[in-house]
Amino acid sequence: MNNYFITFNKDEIIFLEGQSSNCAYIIESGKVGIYREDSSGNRFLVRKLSKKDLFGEMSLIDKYPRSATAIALESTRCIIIERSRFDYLKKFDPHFMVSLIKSLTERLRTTITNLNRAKPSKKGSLPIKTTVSDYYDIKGE
Amino acid sequence: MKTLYFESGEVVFEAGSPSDSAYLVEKGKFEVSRLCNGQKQVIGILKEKDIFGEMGIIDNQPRSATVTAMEKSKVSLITQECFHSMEMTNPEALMPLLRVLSARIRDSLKLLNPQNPPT
Repeated sequence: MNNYFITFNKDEIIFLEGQSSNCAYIIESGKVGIYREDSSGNRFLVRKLSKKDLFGEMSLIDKYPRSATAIALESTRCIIIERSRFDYLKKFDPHFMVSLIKSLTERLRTTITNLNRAKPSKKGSLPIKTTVSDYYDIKGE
Repeated sequence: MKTLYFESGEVVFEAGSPSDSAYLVEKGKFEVSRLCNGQKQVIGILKEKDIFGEMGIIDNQPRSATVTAMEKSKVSLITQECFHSMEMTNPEALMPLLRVLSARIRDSLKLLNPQNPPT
């Protein structure tokens, strides 16, 4: 299958949190910032991505809207993985599926680690460490 | 896939034990707990069709909580070999795993705020 490329300028928005979506990206060159918004609408950086990193794949998996906003931090070239290509890969490419699972697991552990560094919000409430990490480690859907 | 049966009160695995398999609940209910200051704290309930312990077969990190059957229950055991044969013969069978991971990342992303910035 052919690769399709797209280039984003510095500060260009690749996608916005909440948008519906039909593709994932692999960075060929450049850097991408993944952002979320706090309750007052201010963006904060969740993760920085660089060459070979995959992003936007969660919407291909569960078909929900984008969970975060992606912005090019410099001129960035990406390979686009469209749904049709993803559907092909998930049927015929075990290595793709396994690397996807590994990348999601690693990301989940990183997100949990970041959450664990949060202080308990109120005195007497459970520290996030004992609830969130364990919950996400083993709780089913 | 191998099937396992648990009686009420029976422990599936304990926090800190090595991980080598995941489980799919076929029937019954399980309690997820851990000790906090010496006291048992229930952090989740698992029911039919829930998958648990799946991160362990991917990265082999120890279990961080204890799972106990709450009633007579039945689970399918997903061993590492089973996981690898699934990936080779039918990669699409791994989609439920991807969906679970994706759902958990979405939930934990929602809990992230500027007070716990990334590394």
